[in-house]
Amino acid sequence: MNRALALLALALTLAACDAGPDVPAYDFDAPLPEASLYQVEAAWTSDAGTPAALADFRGTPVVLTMGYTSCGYACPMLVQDMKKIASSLPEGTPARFVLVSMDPERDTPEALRAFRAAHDLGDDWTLLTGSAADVRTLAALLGVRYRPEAGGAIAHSNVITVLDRDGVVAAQQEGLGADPGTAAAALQQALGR
Amino acid sequence: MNRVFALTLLGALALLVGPAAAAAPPEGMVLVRGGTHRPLYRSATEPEVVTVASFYLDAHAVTNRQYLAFVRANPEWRRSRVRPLFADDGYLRHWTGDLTFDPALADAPVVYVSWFAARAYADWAGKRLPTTAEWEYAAAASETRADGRTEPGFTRRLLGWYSRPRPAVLPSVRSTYRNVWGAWDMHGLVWEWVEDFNAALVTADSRSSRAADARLFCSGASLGAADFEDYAAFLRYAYRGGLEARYTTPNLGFRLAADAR
Repeated sequence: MNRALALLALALTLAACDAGPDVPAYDFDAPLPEASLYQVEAAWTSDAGTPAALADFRGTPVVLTMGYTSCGYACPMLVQDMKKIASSLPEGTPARFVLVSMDPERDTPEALRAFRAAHDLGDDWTLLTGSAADVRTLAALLGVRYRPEAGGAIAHSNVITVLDRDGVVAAQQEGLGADPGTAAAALQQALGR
Repeated sequence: MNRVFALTLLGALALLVGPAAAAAPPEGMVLVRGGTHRPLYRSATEPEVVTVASFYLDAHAVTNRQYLAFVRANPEWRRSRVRPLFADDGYLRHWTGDLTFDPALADAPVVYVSWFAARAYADWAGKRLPTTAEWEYAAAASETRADGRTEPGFTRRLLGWYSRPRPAVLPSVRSTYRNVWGAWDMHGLVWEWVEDFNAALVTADSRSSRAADARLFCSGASLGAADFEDYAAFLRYAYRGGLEARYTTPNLGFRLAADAR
């Protein structure tokens, strides 16, 4: 019986670590480093309409940006820049791509789903919306500056952040059209490559 | 008939008494009556003035004594325990230990606190940080006028305070001036955190380059300043633009706000 349990545990562990043959196992029981963003409590809602936490991504490196879906210019460019990072990674590299809205009032899960469809975002993408206070906190943690303007636009800094498997900031690129090399390298390094 | 008359009278009384009764602020706070504020920077598409609703504001900055009560109740905000994510290593540097400081500083504004710390304090106190618009609106008042900038000499006095060196020992709150709203030391004692400090869209790296700003910031139109005479406001804007949420400095504290009921 004990042996069966042990085998089951082993099988589960192996399944949990099934992120490709050359990805080191990740210890989900180890305490998070002090600098981990996953220690910060915030209640997000995904574009699927379900509750979500950034810590849900623990174990997999994350490429994250903040924007808003009615943004005409920079946010589609930010998504393009994230896709560039994705396409510069070897096939099958485990990574999550996350867009957090800084416009909680208008970016409902429905609006996020429309954005997902419009930009043809794959299953490895998650779109999140949350409270104004949690948005302000995350922006503060990431060094993202933003200011709602009259007429509904939100002036904001364009920052893409790479989080390692613990949720610690591994790299940041500022500005549109940056070379995806640095972010991609940081992501590979987070996977011990 | 009498009943109608009584109801009418009651209604009239409510109109007279109502707003005044609702205006009684919580202890330690003052009512800042709403009005219009002319933001220093705005984009071409934005209106020149924004409306600020009435709100309550702490009569003075949070003191070391007040902050100590928060730290006692929330051990994770003790100097030895604070997470590096939420404060740099200068946090509460002027204290002598986790729960001790020079008694002369008890009523001085608490400084060496990060934005995260100020916000945690606000949550604990059941209040919030003021927005930039609220803070600037309240701070524009002189001793006698809601808009001190219309008072001869007020703007120059502010600049004088800004250029004075920081005293070795920070004075207590209520040591400078009390403005028309009843708020003390809005200028002349310490800088203060605001909720949306990171709405100031300049950074140390991009300050000198408009091209860099255009690449870094998604903005519908370029920013323009409303009042080139108000140097003190420029200083505050630039100062906020250089802040990160975990920064702590020897002259940066905070006071809290609450929605007026």
